[in-house]
Amino acid sequence: MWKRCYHWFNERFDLPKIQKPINDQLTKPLPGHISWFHTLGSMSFFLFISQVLTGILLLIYYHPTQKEAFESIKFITNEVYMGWLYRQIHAWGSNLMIIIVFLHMLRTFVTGSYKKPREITWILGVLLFVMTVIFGFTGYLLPWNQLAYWATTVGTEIAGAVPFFGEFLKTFLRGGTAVGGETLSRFFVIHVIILPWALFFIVIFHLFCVRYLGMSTMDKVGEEKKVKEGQGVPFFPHHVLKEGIVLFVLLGVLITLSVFSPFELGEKANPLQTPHAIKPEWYFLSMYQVLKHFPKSIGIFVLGLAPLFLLIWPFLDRTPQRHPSKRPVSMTIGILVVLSLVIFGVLGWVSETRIHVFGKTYDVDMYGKPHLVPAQTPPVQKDIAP
Amino acid sequence: MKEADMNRSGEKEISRRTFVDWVIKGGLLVALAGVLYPALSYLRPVMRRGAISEMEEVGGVNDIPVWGGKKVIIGGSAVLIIRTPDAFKAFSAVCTHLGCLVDWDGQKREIICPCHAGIFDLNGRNISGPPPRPLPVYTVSVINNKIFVKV
Repeated sequence: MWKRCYHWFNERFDLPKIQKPINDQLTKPLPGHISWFHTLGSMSFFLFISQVLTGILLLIYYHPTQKEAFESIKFITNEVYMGWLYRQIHAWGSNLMIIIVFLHMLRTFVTGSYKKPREITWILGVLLFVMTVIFGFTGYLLPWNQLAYWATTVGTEIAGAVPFFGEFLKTFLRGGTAVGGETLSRFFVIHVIILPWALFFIVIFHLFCVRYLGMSTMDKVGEEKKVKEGQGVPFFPHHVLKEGIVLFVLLGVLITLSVFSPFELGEKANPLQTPHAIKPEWYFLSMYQVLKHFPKSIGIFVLGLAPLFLLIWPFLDRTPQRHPSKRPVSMTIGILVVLSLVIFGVLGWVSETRIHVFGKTYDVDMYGKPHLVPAQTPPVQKDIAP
Repeated sequence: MKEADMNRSGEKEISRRTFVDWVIKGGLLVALAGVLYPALSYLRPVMRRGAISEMEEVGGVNDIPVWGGKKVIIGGSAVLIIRTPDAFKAFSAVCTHLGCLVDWDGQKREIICPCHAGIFDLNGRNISGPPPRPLPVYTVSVINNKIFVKV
């Protein structure tokens, strides 16, 4: 049967000729230092596929209108067979994807893989990271709950602080003066049509670059030795096996989180009531916290510099060394950036909440500074709106 | 430039082929712009919404107790109406900091933004917290026990 099929196709296409480049790619040896950290790229790709598939399933029952969006998500969660699971996998998948894509970028940074001749691979990678974050931002609004609505209001308001054309940008994103049905439609189109296709093509280009330029070795720029046949780690089956193991673990983590720590749907969006201490998603927290310390337009400028620096990083760091221990300046900058992301993120996380540490209660202000609450104060009663 | 493109006096002369080439390229460019412009304008129909200059009825006088407040949506934007013993006041309910909707605190007689502890006074002036500007004030009229707001 298989033979007859092969024969049938072989009569129409020159199969050995097509097989050769595929085999070449499969048997291509990778540099010897390739480790578990080099599976983060394929993990990102796996998560993207998972997002596409669960996204398609969600699309079947989702209605992207102001009136029905919330109810349709409720329907998916409560009525449709396994609907809750697909929604949770999609939601958790997006969070994990941001973590994994970031770690992938971090690994590339540490091993100096962005250096010549792989600058374009890095630039495409940064674009993919930015797009992943925009995916998160646009997808967050779609359930049309209170948190989503107000996070989007604040998010687009920040876009409005861009000098000169900020006001235009804000109205353009919202499709009106306030976040509403038009905003939902716009974010929906960006989330399910524009971004997936754009990401798809950039991923192909990114992978092509990885394959065409070869995986980076730890040698100095310009002194890289080509990995010869029979040396290093064979792509198939050695590295593919590693990727397979990691993907199974990832799938396990994804489903475990989805089952045991589901995302709440919350209340339906109410354009007349902002919930107290509204905060963006965790991956925007550090940006959001930094923004509090600046007047709006300067804050935007500061935040705009970060992705710009990422994009042009290979052209700023022109030293030939790749090994992290031989790049003290790069590594210091990298560690400082990661540390500041974590610190500002945590400050953003605890800001405007009440925390309990060692039996004492603190009210944390918007800048993340704790203020001791005397023990005998009765709990603050929420004012009931008249 | 090739020799064929020069005439006898040595001036440049465009050959028929080059000319047609430019016409086609130019035509394509114009056609592209002609497609692109409507597509771009298509994306911003809602941005041309004009200001609403009519008075809008937002309810009866007795809907709001003295020192009470009410939020309504007029022409797509949220408006906060506050009743004091002698008058009604209307402000934009959108905080000038990051766009959260402010609440009226009847006890403290302050307008409070729930997001970053921004506080405005009874005249809409930003008195505490990060908001950079006062809240825009709107005109309120009471006719036949009905409240009208002009945005």
